[in-house]
Amino acid sequence: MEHQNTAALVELCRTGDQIAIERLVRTHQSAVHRLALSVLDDPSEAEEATQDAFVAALKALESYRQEAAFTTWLYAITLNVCRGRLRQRRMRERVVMVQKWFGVGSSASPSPEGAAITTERDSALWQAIQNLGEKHRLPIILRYYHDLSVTEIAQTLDINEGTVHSRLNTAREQLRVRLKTHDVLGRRLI
Amino acid sequence: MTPLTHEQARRFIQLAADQLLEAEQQRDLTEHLAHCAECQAYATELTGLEQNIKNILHERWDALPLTKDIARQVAPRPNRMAVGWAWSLARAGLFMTALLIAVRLFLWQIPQDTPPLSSPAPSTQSSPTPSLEPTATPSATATFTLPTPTATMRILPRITLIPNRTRAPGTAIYTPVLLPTEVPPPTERSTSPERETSTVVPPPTAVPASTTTVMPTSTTTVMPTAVSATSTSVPPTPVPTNPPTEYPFYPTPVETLDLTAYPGLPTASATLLATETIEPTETITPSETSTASPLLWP
Repeated sequence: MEHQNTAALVELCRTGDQIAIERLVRTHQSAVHRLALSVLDDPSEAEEATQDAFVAALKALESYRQEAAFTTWLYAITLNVCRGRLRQRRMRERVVMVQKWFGVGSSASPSPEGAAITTERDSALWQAIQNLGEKHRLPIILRYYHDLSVTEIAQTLDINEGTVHSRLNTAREQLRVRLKTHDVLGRRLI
Repeated sequence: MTPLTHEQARRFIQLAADQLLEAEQQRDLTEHLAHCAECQAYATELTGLEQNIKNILHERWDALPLTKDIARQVAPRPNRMAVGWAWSLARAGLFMTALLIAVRLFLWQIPQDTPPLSSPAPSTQSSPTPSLEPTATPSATATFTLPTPTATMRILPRITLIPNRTRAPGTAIYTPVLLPTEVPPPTERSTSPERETSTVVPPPTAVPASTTTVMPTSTTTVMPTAVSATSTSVPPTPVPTNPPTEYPFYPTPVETLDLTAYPGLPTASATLLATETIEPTETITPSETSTASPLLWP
């Protein structure tokens, strides 16, 4: 039923119906924003990415063939936008690193969101997730934050399901090992 | 049913985490976990890890709601643009209307005793036959009293230059000749003394050129612009002259001299009264259309 509604809404959007476009955006803007936020881990940048994602999606609406769910198609566009922003961020980080080498610039302060993670174990887990490569971190986020199935993740990332499962397996193992190491180190420190 | 190895059991646990385990594999795994404490600990550890990942991610990002209204910023707004244009046009229209009203009010406040703008005086060079024409289109019937039917008309005579064939060196090439014209006899209507008032209906059509128009009644219907005309032309009257073939170097035998170019020359003026006779020789009486003649040349 919801899929049919979305399909009808998309059809209306294709005709340029302004109300339908607004309704479609309102329906999905929260999920898209959460995805952008989870990938970028920066609230302001996530809002910009959300806007960019919807602009890109509305431009590409003619190419949507309804082979996948609209949400999956929209997530794929959002992830592409976020990946572009991550590339730009990496470039900036390299510049900052070079500046640090030459003694220029200031050291980065910890993000305020870091204060939300209270316990040391949670902090270790968060650091472990952050240290995962993008290839493994994105499936973890999509699986455990956005509750997407392996099939949906495969469609979103445009890879096959076996690869998704393999990446999830590898990421879980890495996190488990790092947490285990942290627990062992914590016990030793205590 | 074959017993699972630890390696297979861990692989099945991973598949179960992704909900990819089939029913038969699920049965084998359950059987293995029932007897293997090591794999059971691994499964518990992995389940806890998954729960911790979910918790930490939701804890981190759920508290950060979307603050922008993306729908309003993303959705196209053609109607708003149209409304904006309509408002701009309406405001411009209101401004122009107010400006026009202000200009009209300003013009109405100009004193009415200022002399009316007269029509430009006819140029004798561009238009050799100036005419006395009404300045306003007659559209209504006016009734007024006769006692002050005066109008001043300045009439410039028309002079024809005749080549002076017997001139001596140093004398003028042309001899000016005052052209005679006829004055129409006074009409009975215009000379009626007992006529106290009259109704004037000026002719709507233009008066023929080369005539001085004295308007239908005896009152001030000699139009102001005609009065202020600098010259009055009369149709050229045939003047006996010698043919130019004898003196091919002379210009055209009959030439019209524009007296406005010679301010020192004497000019004639006349006061047109309803029943008066203009001295010295002729009487100009208002009529429907009378020809003013340059007979006042001294």
